[in-house]
This record gives sequence, structure tokens and C-alpha cells, in this order.
Amino acid sequence: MSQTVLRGVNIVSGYGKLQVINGIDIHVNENELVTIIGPNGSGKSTLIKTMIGLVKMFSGQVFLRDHDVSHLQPHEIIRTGIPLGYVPQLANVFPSLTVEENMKMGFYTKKWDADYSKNIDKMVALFPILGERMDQKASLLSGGERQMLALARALMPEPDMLILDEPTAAIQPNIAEEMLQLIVTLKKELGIAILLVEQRARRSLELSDRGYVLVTGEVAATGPASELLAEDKIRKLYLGVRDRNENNT
Amino acid sequence: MVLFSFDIFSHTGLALIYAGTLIILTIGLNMVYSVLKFSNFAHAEFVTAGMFMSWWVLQILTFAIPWDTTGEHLINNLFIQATFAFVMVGIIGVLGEVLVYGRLRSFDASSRSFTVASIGIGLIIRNFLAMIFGNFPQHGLGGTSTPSLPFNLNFDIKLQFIRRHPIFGSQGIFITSFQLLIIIISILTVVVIDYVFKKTKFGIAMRATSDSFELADVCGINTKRIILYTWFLAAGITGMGASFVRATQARFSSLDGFFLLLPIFTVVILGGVGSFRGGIVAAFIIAFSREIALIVLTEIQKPNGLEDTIEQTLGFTVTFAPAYADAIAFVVLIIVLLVRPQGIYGSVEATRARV
Ligand SMILES: Nc1ncnc2c1ncn2[C@@H]1O[C@H](COP(=O)(O)OP(=O)(O)O)[C@@H](O)[C@H]1O
Ligand SMILES: [Mg+2]
Repeated sequence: MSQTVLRGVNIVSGYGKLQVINGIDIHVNENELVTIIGPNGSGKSTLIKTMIGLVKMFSGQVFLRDHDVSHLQPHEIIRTGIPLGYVPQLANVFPSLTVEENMKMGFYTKKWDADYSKNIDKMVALFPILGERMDQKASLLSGGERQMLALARALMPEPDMLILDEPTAAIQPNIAEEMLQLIVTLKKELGIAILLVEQRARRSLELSDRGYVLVTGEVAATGPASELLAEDKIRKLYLGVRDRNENNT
Repeated sequence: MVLFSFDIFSHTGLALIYAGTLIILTIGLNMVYSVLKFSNFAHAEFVTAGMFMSWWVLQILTFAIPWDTTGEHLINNLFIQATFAFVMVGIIGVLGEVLVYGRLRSFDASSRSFTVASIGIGLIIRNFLAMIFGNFPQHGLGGTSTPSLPFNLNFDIKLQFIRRHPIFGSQGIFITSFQLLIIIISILTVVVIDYVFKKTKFGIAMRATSDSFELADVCGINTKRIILYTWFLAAGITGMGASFVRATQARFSSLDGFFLLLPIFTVVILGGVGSFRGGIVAAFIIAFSREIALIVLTEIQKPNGLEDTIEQTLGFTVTFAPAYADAIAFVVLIIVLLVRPQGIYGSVEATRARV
């Protein structure tokens, strides 16, 4: 059995007094692509933000490999030594920084030396369109280019764990498909453990190893992605409404 | 006929000194504006505090090292005063964050709340200083006499080099080496800060933090610490600048910072929020406009000038006091806000962010 990279145990969290996540267990193993699906407002983003330290956890525990990172600040989690990349759903680039500076921020905890330039070259090879616009401000990029830049920034520290919150939101369907393919490639070729939140529920489950279905802050169903796809109730409730959900955020 | 009845060179000198003052006093406001995204009205009192702190250390040293009888190199030393003012005012800036702004931020207060809080903090600082030191600190021991430098500079430009010229009349520049030094330090400080902001890791982290606290945090930036550094630098540089300004003035009061607030804000807005180089250009524009206004108003008031003419032809009196020149910053501010609200070099986003 492969090792667990990220694990949340009985997570309860929310905003101020409002409890949004009502006790969730979740884990992502090495070399695994795990998708979280669920209706808008079910707490997918909140769950992820809790694990990364952006939302206050009322109770529960979070482990990044062997480190207990419960209740740490995000910058403390990033500095545990286990490289982690996170792309939030909203505001996922620094608009007033240039494309190159945005990538630099992904390497903030390390020295900006030879390794840094090597990784920049890798990102440019992966996203040639960004390579042409290195000195432009990120605010001038299109929606799809921003998602690419956000992903590039998250990949800069050569992460063991990648957390992506709706990386295909608000971009054209063909680019979205490319993005999902790229995510699968990242898992296969670099062995990165990936936790993905997706609105394109059916498509992402098709590409994933495992899935979680979140409803009102609880795990309604979980298991291998193929089983979730086959289950009648889930097909009707969460995969059938896919088209209606896709246009919302 | 003598074309210039006023001393053109001396006015140029005064404008340069005023510009230097504005440049250095603007940096801190611009930093807070661009990183923390609110108008910090307490900035005026950072200026006042800098003046008081530089004066205070002079008093302390006069007691502490009475054997330094010449009083030249330690007691009344510009660099000691500037350093002391930097540290003390920097600490005041950090205290504001720790006691007030940090708490406001933890409940996601809007930038208006921050601005209003800054007005309150400004009032507290000013009155606190006035309570301890008095509104008009006296000359007393060492007083407000010009501080000395740890070395001798001999580049005073004082000589009356044109006399009874057919066009220029009698002219001379009156800038002391001391004032020149201040102008040079002001410009150097801006260049250094501009470089730090644009090129260094710390500067990029500051800009990243200003874009998004959360995203900066998940990149590994300790945003709270970056904010504290921002306050320390912003307030400290202002305090240092204020110690220079005090050194060029015969006296100072607890209202000096408040009177400089308007021109300082105008420089930031004219130069463009977040643009330190824009601030340099804007400071020169404001300083020279003020000096020109001063000349024009003085001319109008002279015998047989416009003021007399109006009185004789229209039968009522309109006063054009030269002191009105101080309002030039207002005029420039209004024009900029109407014509080009993003300033000379500013970006539209940065301008939207401000209150
Ligand atoms: N910053 C916030 N403050 C208060 N409530 C929030 C905040 N962000 C999200 N919520 C609430 O938490 C619930 C879950 O939101 P979210 O995690 O964004 O859902 P999802 O990502 O699944 O669409 C929603 O009811 C939402 O209104
Ligand atoms: Mg979400």
C-alpha cells in the first residue's frame, strides 16, 4: 500500500460561528488523483482551505506526510519541508506582479538560484504561451492563461502534493479538457499526489483514481472513481445536474 | 530694463529644498497606500513625531554627554538625530499596526475603517507629543539650531554671483551644503526604496502581500511580518525625513506635520499611487508651482501691481496674499483628480484600490 501524503481526520471547520464542514475524513495517497465533487456551497473550497490553514479548524487533525500541520498558518505548512502547491478557486494569481514574478512566488521559500531558473525553463516548456509574456502583468492575462499561471506557480517548488480548486472554472471547454489532461500527465509522469475539486464531475471522475462526494459539509459517498461513476444514486443526483452547475461558480 | 524683479535663483533654491522635503516625506505614505491599500492620515503625525524625536534626542544628548563641549559632532549631529527618529517613529508605526490596524484586519474591516482609524491614531500621536513636549518646543539647550554633520562639507552655494545684470538684476542662490545634502539623501532614498520594491525578494513579497494576503500566505510568506516591516520602514523613513525638515527650519510645532499633509497627499496622487519615481516628478511639480504662485502673488501685491489696479479701477479691494501659494497643492490635487486620477505613472488598479 502506498503512503498517504495528505490526510484530514474528522475535520470540523467554518467561518466565525458558522460551521460549514461537519466532520470529514479525507486522504490522498502517493501517485493518486483524487477528485472532490459536490453541489455549489457544499463546502469543497472550505474543506481544502481548512487543510491548508486558511480557514480556522474547530476540531480535527491534518497531516502532511508525518507532520501534524493542524492549526498551523499556511506559510508554516509551506515551510514544513514537504513541497506543496495550492491553486485557490478565486484570486489565484498576483495581478500586479509580472508573470515571471508570479512564478517566483512559487519558489519563495527557496533561494532564487540555479534550481529556480531550471524550474522556470520547465514551466515555459509546459506553458509556452506564458513564456512569451514573462514581463507582462498577470492582470493582463486571459482567464485560461491565469489558470495556467496559477498552476505553473504551484508547480514551481516541485510539489509532492498538489491541491487544485476548480482549475477549469471560467475557461473554454477545449482548454479545460487540455488542463485536465495535463493534470493526469502530472500525476503519471511526476508521481505527484493530486487533490482536485471539479465542477465537471463526470469528466474528472473518469480521469481520477478515487472520489469524494460532498453534500452540506459531509462526505455523502466515497470510493474508487469508477464505482462512484457506476452508482445510480450519484449519477442521478450529482452527475445528471452537471450541465446546470457548470455555469455557476 | 531689469526683466526679473524677483530673485529667480533663490526661488529655485527654495523650490528644490521644498521638493526634497516632499520627496522624502512621501515615500512612507506611498508604501502604506500601495501595500495596505488605505489612505493613512496618521502619516502627518509621523512627520510631527519625527521632528519631536529628533529634537528630543538632542535634549537627551545634551544632558548625557556634557563633556562634548563643542557640541558639534555628537550632541547636535544630523545622523544621530535621523537614526533616532527613524527607529522611534518606526516603532510608532508598528504599534499602530499591533494595537489597531491588525485587529481591524482580523475582522476584515473595509479600507474606510482603516482610514477613519488612522485619523484617530493621528490625533492621539499629535496630542500625546504636545502633552509631553509642548506645542512649540523651545530653543533651550541646543535648541532647534542647525545640526552639524560628522564631517565638513564645503559645497555651499551662497555667493551673489550676478550683480546689477541688465536682464537678471541682482541674483544669487541660497542653498546651504546642508540643504543640498538633504535633497540628495531624499532622492537616494527614493531610488533605493524603488529598487527594493521592484527587484528584491522582500519587495516582491510586499507587492504580493498587497495583492492578496491569502495567496501570499500559501506561497510561504509570513504576511503579518511583511506588514510590520512595511509599517516600520514607512514610518521610519518619514521620521527620518522629518528630522531633516526640522533641521532646516528655525522652529517647529506640533502642527507642522498636519500642514504638510495636503502637499504630501497631492504628491502621491499626482505621481501615481505605488510609483516612487512618479513621486519625485510630482514633488518637483508641486514645489515649483508653489514657488511660481508665490512669485506671482508677490508681484500682484507690489505697488501699482494688479491689486492696486483692481482697487483703482473697480473701487474695491481684493487681497492676494503670498501665503495663498500654499493652496497650490489643493489646486493641483483638484486638477489631477478631474483630469488624470491615476496620476502620472500610476496604474488604474492601484488608483481604484484607494479610498
Ligand atoms: N468567507 C466566508 N465567510 C462566510 N461564509 C462563507 C465564506 N466562504 C464560504 N462561505 C460559506 O460556506 C459554504 C461553503 O462554501 P464553499 O466552501 O465555497 O463551497 P463550494 O466550494 O463547495 O462551492 C457556503 O454556504 C458559503 O456561503
Ligand atoms: Mg468552491
